[in-house]
Amino acid sequence: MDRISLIERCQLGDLESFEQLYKSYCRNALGTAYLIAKHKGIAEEIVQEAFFQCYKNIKKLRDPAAFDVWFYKLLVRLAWKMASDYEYSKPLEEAGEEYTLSMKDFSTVYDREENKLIVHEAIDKLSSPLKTVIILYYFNDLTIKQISMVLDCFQGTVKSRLHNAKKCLEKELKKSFGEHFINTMYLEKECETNG
Amino acid sequence: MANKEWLEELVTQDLQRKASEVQPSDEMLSRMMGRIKADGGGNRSMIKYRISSFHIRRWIVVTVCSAFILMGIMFTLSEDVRAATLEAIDTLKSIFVIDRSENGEYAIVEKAADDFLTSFSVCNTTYLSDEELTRKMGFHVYFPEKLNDEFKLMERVEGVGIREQVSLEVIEQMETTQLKAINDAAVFNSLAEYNPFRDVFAIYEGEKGTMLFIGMEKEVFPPIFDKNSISFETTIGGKSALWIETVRPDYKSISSNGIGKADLYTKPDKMLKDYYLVWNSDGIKYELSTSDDLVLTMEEAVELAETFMVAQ
Repeated sequence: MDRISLIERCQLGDLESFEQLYKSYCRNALGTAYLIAKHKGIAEEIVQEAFFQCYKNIKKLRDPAAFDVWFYKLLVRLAWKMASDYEYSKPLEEAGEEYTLSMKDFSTVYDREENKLIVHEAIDKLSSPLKTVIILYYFNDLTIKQISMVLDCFQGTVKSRLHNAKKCLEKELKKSFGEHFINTMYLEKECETNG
Repeated sequence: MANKEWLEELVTQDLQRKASEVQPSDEMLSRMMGRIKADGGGNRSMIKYRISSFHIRRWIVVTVCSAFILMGIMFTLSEDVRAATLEAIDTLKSIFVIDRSENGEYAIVEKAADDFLTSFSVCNTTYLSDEELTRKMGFHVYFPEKLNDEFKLMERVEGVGIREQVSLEVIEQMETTQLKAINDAAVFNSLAEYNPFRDVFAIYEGEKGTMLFIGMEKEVFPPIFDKNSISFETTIGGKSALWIETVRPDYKSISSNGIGKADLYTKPDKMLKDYYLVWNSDGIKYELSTSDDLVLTMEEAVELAETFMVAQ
């Protein structure tokens, strides 16, 4: 069954089709929720709530082809809301916990665990709007147009958020890895590309 | 160009790696499908329930010792219904409570709302894990995923109550603050004069959609029961426990300030008999109760409680 037919069957209240729809979207949905909420338990709750609301409201979706945008809009809003509730309820000793970045001497950027953490911390430091755009663009592979519809904003806004997010990331990585190192990496990468 | 690609590659790799830390489970699917069916969705016939009503039932069941209840629950009513409810609360000044006469007969009696004092609790679903709840509550919290292979853990709920007795008018002023106190230590501390406490409970679901609730809080044991309750002594793992029989009015549920509660202002049609089990271990009071459609004998309740305690 193609995706459009599957969604149409869900709109008729067919639970088995909905189960199939869930299975094809839940991995990405859970990943997205986890990247926003940073907590496994709450990410699961977000996904369950999103699919529950999806089932209840899918009849209202006029164009089944627009399901992705419609669903991610629902998911992202819930994730923001529930993640902020969770931040509020975090035990105090965890709320103030900060990871200290340090200069590292390394051969490859992404291979070592501590470096992965540094990259992730840099992404994590982005503001919610910037981080959400990064997640939707690089993790969910949504287009600029789709993201603008998910977030109810202009495409220009999405582009500028993407640009700003990358600037912030670059700045943060330079701070952690050292400007010289980043420039070297850029050059090496450029050589690889050219060679 | 290469710079840009390199950064993008780094970001994509990181997001994928991080997201791979979580994997959808069959449990998630079955819980979600269960919720849909329970809500009346789908084409298969299932037992219908609303999660909100279980919060209500649970709170009605477990707060008999403090005479009345206030439930923090998750349902939302339309603005019209809410407005009507609030209007009713503003205009009606008498409430209906249960009374047991000297010859042991129960009756629902009308009382002036101003004369009624009670302690109360507000609760809400929590997304914190057992470990996080343990840190927050200050005592060990562990809810096994299954009890006797018959009951599956559905959700955890945490609440904030006050032991000081206050009027309904004060409750209406305090309930939103109390709801905030669940997640805010400063707000919780601001309730000091009312002797606040935290509690946590789990909702378990049986195969036929019946519900079992197990709660825990720091409290002196045995707790004080009202005159509408009769207690029977038993033991759990060699420690003393009480099986409580109580009678309560079958209040309707209403919502105001986004919080569900029993409607004390409308005369209930009938009274209901409830049973629950309380016991103590290391200064923590445990309580096991059920939804209306699950009636356990004392022996069955004790067996479930013993299984729960062995898992601790």
